Amino acid sequence: MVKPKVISILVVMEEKAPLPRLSFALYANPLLACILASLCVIVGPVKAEPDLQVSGFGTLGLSVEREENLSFLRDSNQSKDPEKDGSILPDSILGLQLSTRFAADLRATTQFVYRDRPEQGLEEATELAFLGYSPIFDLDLRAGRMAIDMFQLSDYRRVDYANLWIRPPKEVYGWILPSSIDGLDAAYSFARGDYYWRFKLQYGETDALLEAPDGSQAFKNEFENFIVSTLSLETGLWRFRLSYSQADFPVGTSPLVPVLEGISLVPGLIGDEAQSFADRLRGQTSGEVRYWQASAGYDDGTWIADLELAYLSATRTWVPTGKAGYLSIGRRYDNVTAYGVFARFYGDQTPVKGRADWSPLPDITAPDGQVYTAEFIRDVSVASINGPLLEQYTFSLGLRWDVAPKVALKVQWDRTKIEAEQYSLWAHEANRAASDSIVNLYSVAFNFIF
Amino acid sequence: MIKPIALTSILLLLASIGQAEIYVVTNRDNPVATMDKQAVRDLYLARSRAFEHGDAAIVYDRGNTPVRKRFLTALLGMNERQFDAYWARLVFAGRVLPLEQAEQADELRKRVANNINAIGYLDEAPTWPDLKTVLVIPE
Repeated sequence: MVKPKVISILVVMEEKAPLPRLSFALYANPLLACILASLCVIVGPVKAEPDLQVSGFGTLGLSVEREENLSFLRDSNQSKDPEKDGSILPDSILGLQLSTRFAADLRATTQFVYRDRPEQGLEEATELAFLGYSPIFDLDLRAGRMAIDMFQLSDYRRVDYANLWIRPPKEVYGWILPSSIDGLDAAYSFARGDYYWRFKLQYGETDALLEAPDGSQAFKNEFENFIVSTLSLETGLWRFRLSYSQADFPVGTSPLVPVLEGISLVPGLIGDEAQSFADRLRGQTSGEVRYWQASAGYDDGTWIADLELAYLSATRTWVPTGKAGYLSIGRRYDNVTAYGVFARFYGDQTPVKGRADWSPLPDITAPDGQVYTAEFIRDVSVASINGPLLEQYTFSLGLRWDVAPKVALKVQWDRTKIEAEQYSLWAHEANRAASDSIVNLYSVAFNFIF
Repeated sequence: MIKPIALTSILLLLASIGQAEIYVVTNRDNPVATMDKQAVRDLYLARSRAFEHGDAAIVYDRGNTPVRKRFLTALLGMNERQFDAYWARLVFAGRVLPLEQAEQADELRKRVANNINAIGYLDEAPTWPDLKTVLVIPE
């Protein structure tokens, strides 16, 4: 059987629009700021007393599940192998951070992270590389590559030691594609009594390499005019956070659309189906995504609780859209913390099915010059529309044992119910039979920081 | 039978344990005379970065020492694991640089004595003339 090669042949990006002209030279070339920050950190401070600070974090993790044709991913932008049932790759990570301060108001930070991803290289591994300047103590300005700050845990979601669980709940954090942003940000914070307020704005661009669900091909997703705005408050044992983010996509055209529009001229069920597929795929080519987020956290030293809710809308369907959230409750017993989590993603897109028999149609020559059967075109269309869809929930139970200072050992069991044709948080074959799945995932992880 | 003098010593020892205190210290020449608990708490949680008079504070932690555990409990109501996780979030998000470290009391004394903007903590009142106590935190 011909396996549909999904997605990457379907979207052809037009030439990238020029960046907005800003007076900030570092923004005009974020890479310049990244290189500068890296050089500054590596070369070290010019003052006599060395002040290079080296720190890092890491996880050695193993996750195992037995579901046929579905394979666990921590993030949707990891490498994908549908046949894999157990691996150390999804959760294992090593991060090295170098920081230096040139003066009380000027600093540089670079962070290199080795983790599973479709492509390995220095550019991909450099998750932070920025220069920070504080003209007044309450104001932080940064330029270069920063962690993207969309959700509660976004800017430290890979630092597992800092989190209670083996990994942040997938339903909220598994589909957030970019981890860094190239541009500028400004944060204003102040404390009044026991109330600590922080306002933050980020602006820039980023991209993320995403593999097709079966790992056969990878394609780059670009985000431009990325704006992240956050407001957070810490008081007493509580912390709260609200954020809104949006980004544009370069406008592209799916080469499937004209092919499907041609087929739609065929009278009857085939034509109607082709027209409906074309309409769905045409929706993929415009470009804006919006994220809303609200969260609350509580920690009294014994009990620890977190609630986070998010809503995502997009005019392009290769990202999941809908509502997401999780509730986590933990109880500390000396060095051991027991916890439970419920997380859910409610998708707001309906999967499509190929109901008509397209086999009577003749073979079709696509814009790339290759000849495909009509059934192949139908299967690729269905896989392209359903590929990003997501509807699932997970119950998790786990234990965290703080074995020694800055070292933790965790075990976790996740039971996930996935709706048919909405597997985008999992590696899978494009032609996987449409059926609901329940996956039991068993994980163990060793976390450390230094 | 326990001799009266031995009993007195034991009672004094118990009393001193019950009334243990942590001493927050700065350089003798730092313009700050005293600090309240909230101000020190804000520095150790990176919620503020400066002393009241406006100079940037260089904040020292004490590595893996018994006094660190006592200090974090007395000042923040946190254990070391919570504090380490809290700082890991700040540092690896790129928000702040890590706290400066001075594990031994002598090392802390040298650092604070050499920098007018340094601040740290000790488990006993400083006897060095180049340091001064700005806050005593009872346990």
